[in-house]
Amino acid sequence: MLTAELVRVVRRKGGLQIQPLCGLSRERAASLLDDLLALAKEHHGQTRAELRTALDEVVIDEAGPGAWAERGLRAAKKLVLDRLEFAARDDVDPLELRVVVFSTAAAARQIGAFDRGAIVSVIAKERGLTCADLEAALYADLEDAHVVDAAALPVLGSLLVDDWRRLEIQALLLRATQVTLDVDATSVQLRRLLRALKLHQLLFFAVPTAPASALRIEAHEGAPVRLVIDGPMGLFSSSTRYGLKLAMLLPHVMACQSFRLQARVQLRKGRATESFVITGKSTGDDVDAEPLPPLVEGLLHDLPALLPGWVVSPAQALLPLAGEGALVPDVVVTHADGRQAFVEVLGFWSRDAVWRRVEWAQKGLLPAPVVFCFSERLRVSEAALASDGADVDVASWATAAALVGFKGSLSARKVAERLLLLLGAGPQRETPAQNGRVQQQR
Amino acid sequence: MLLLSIELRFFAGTLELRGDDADALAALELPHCTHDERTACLRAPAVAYAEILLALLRLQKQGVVAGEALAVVDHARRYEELVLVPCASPPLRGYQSEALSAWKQARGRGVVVLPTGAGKTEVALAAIADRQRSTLVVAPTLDLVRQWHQALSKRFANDGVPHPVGLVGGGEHTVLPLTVTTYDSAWAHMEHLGNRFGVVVFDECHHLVADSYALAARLCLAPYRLGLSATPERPDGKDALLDELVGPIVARKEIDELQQDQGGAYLADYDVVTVTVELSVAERAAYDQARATYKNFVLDQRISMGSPDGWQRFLRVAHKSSEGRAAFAAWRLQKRLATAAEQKLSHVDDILQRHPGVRVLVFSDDNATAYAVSRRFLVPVISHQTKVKERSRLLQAFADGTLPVLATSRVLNEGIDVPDAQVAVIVSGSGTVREHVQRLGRVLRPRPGKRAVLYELVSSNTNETFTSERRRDHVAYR
Repeated sequence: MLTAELVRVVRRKGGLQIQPLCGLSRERAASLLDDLLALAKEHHGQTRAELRTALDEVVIDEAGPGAWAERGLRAAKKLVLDRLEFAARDDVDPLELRVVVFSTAAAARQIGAFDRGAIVSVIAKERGLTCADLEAALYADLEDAHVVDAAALPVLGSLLVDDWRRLEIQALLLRATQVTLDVDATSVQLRRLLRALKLHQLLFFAVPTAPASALRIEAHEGAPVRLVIDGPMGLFSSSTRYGLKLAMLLPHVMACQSFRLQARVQLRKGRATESFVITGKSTGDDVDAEPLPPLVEGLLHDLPALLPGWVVSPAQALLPLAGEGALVPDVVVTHADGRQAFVEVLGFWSRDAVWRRVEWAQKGLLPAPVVFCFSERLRVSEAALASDGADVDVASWATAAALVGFKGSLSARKVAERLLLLLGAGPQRETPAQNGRVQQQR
Repeated sequence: MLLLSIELRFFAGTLELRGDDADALAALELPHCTHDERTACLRAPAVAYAEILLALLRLQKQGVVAGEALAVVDHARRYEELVLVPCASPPLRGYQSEALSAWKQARGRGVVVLPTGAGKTEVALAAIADRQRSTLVVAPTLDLVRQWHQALSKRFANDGVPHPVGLVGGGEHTVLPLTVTTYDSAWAHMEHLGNRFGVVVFDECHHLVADSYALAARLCLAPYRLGLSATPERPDGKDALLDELVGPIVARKEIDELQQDQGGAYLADYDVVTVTVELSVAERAAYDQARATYKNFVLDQRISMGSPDGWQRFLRVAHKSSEGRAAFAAWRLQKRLATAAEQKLSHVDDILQRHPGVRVLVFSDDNATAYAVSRRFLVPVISHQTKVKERSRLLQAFADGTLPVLATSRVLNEGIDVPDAQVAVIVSGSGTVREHVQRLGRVLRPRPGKRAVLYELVSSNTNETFTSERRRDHVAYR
């Protein structure tokens, strides 16, 4: 992944625009990558430190356009390094070797008999190694000693140029406070996009711009959908890991029929946010569907046994919240009599996301009962949506939603109990398919 | 007589003050309070709690405020009064008692400055026992957090049963009347925990002035605050902020003072030996050439490296041209040649031979040199890449003498309790006084008959001579 410092950004028409490839021409970028790929291949089997030293010696020719050419070179080096595999040697345990070597040396020094060469030679012989092998193995677990595996590198630099351009966009997403995404997508594309959002536990809500068609993903064909996603810089404490996950969404966005991505970007801490917009049509790349998040897989596996008489399946509906967008649940449980309830797994990124949902429940915006699952690391009390000893108002919204905290693994039993409580205690509610009427009543 | 009633509440690291007569409340002009229109109350940072309460108590004592009696209802404070009985506590040394008295005289707010190994922890434990209030100890690293956890549970044990101590950070979140946390966790959780403690101890408090950590101190209402440091001064001058966040320096002893006291009973006697190292012919030639390239560029660009922004300007300009990039590479090369001169390792060899069986710490400025020392002399190294398990094992082996020599870069400067060492070898280091004093402190734990030695290896006629002069600008080196 590139960082924002390795992207050339200009301000134009009140927004940020990327100068692709740090301003290098496509041919120049491809030839630069060719040289770096060749160098990396020459270092196949050598250490990361040796490759890094060799890369440090590559400089951009002096006729280049100054600082940005230099950054372009750094970006290209990173691109190549990220494509390499590195492996630690596994024939010797460096930790155990160090214990033996250092203890032997300390004991020898204690009696005034320290002879480095003799110590290395004796220990190497005992282990059937050469002295050079032993020296190399002593710190083989350090990153710099890892061995370069260049087997999977592409042959031509031109094959990496498109990656480079995509990585530049992703680098800016690492600095986003919020991303608004308008996509025109087929049901397959939309499902993949939403699943990627869910897998990476990104914080978002959907705004179906064409309510009737957007309620069910299966029924969704080409109607635009707006997704508002929290950016890593918008979280209480900015998170690189969250940023990387947001960046990983981009291929799914670019695979939609057409898209418009607008990000509020904070290039440096403390600076004002600026707008960055890209639009595009499907690149034609077929992006593999992401798997379901493991916690959701777990619920789909465990809930059927705990909820006899109910059908448990991955949710395919957007739940519209009057005037507040739409919720994208993960699991739906459906009874033969038509009653439905949903589960959304929120993960551990933001307390605000949990409180937002508490607020939706309290305002009565949820069209169906929903159990929200969140990490206990967010330190939100489940009691925030409990009805114990509550007044009449509280009791009414407590039947619409419940919170389930989890630490590490999510208890399907607890989720099932909450679902049954919501379904048993609450009035029979309309399913999302009937939801237009529910919205009108509000 | 009318009664003006004032309520204090803690909310998200701030204090909210509400009165039944808002105008009368505003007229009191309480310190640090501003009117918050959103919630129609007076609001102040939690750190101002003691000052506000004192102001209110003064007004109360006066009996009448503008014809009204004053009633204060304090809902803000949620910390407890404890019954802590210290066990097996050694009697405080003279300077420790003085420090404790000075802190108490300053209304339990202030910084105690003592050298590494002089027993700052003992002063803090005595302060906690003296105040008998819920206490939060904030330390910079998880290693120190563990050490504090152990010290508190042992010191306040009941019939041999360790006193329960909470832990926030490193995957733990248990809040108890005695709790230890890291600076990072304090920043993340203080808005919720800020009213749970009456005493807060900031270990290595020179870290506290960083923006986010300072915020943690401001979100906490603890009226009693104790900062501990060996080297509170910072090159950026931000140490002045400690006054506001913790209190003024109330007690200070330098290495030389303690070393003279009680004939070395508090800190070991020590010698500082500066060893001048000559560069090899090849190193000298390369150094001179690199130095000239760098200096010429700086002169051409009219950058004064002595000015406060000289370095920043150099960095900005250096990356704009190939000459600049060459100058930057030359700067790095000349620095590397000076700090890692080949001859330095020969001197390390001599020193190790001169002190057989003695515990020696070999410090360098960078990891590459630390690993070079390790490979050359077959001694273990502790760097940021060393895994926790291996680090603990190495420190244990160092303590029991089975591995008496340890190489390290900056990791052992502070934040890890290094067992008794007698010799420190500074192969290279930064120009900061703090680092140099901390490294010296590592070998000063007293032991009968001990005489510590700090060797400083300096490449002659290089920029390192100037670096060495700068870092020795401290009473311990005079």
